[in-house]
Amino acid sequence: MRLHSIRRLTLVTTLVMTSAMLTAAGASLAAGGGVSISPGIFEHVASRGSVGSIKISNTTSTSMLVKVALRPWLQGLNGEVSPNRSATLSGVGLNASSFTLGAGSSRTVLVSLMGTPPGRSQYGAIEVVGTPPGHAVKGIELGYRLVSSLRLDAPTNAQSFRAQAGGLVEQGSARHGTLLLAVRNTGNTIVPIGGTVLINGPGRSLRANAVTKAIVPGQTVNVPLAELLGSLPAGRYTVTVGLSQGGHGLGRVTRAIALR
Amino acid sequence: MIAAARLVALALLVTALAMLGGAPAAPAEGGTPVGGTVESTLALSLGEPRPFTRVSSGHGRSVYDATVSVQVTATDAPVRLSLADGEAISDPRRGHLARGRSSLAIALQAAAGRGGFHSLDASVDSVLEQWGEPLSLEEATIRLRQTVHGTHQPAIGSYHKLLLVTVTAAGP
Repeated sequence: MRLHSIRRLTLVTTLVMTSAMLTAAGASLAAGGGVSISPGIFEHVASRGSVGSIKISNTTSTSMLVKVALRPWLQGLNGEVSPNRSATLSGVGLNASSFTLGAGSSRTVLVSLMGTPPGRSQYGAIEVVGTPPGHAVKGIELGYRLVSSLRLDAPTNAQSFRAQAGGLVEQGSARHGTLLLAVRNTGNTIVPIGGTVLINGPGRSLRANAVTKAIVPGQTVNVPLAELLGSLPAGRYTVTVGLSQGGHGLGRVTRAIALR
Repeated sequence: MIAAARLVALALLVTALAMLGGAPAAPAEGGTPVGGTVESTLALSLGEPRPFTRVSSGHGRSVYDATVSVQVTATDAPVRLSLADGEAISDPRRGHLARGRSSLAIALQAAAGRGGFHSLDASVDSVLEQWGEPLSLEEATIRLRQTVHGTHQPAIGSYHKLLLVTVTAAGP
């Protein structure tokens, strides 16, 4: 009996939450609606032909000029990515790239692959920009820009897990900063690359786990190996990194460094 | 946006109905396993931008601030909020308020949350705010700042810029 009461109370609470959320969605900011895309991550096996679709919705009370583009990623050495707005992704097509979306309406855009991409996979950004009709001449005008990830993975039997290590990079003060390793993804997957680290020196050593980073195939990112925090005295050290990607060992690299 | 809210609401309703259906059969000391999947989505709502008002002046320099309210729903993390110039992508006017062919010498700056201001003329969009987990109707305020110098300062209200409020989900 008591359990039923608790259940009913939970149920009432859940329904109150539901209606409160709907009310909230209908009030404040959301009263003006917005733009949404689904899915948030577009991931399929890279095979020629249609690979799927994205749904774009305009829940505002005005029509919206929508532009859809597939962009290559620009990836910085810190691993951050942003779509390259000056370029479009080659080999992947959309059945609509510019259209007007009426108030409260949705449209499905088909994504297709023209052929087998070089390297068997293709990664980039789906950029959806929505701007209200008309053009203001004064003040700040706002548009919507939603960027989701396009992941066209190589088939399982064609996936390649490989990386090439560059030099060590010191960030901040040598003994108190962060030690990083430049790593280039020479494989064809977006699976994050990380690894184990051993820093060995005169009478002192340090073990750490490298921060895993998703690196776009062909790009180089400085992977943080360890924060030194003054834990090692000055001297010459050997840094050994066992790189791995999604459980696949990528080999061991050794670098020398002098900490002053 | 409302569609995303409805999704969450629907999930809660499913939970509620499952609780109703499961109540009589469940053992007194047990629970009723409930669950479901939410469609992967990314949604953005924008408020009306509040116009620039002067917040400080002196020594031939004036600073103007404006704000924009945004609301984000994202099922895939991490989620990043940034601003992009909607008109000038690669030319020198990127990030600068413009009037006709002229533009202000100093680029617009933007900040969100407790973060500092970033100039909007950078070649890569600066991340203003980042969340490490999925978001449901998360609200944030973007602060815009324009600094002008000189004895004959322009009326910045007569300048224009299309800014694209950008939400990026899940990285590469």
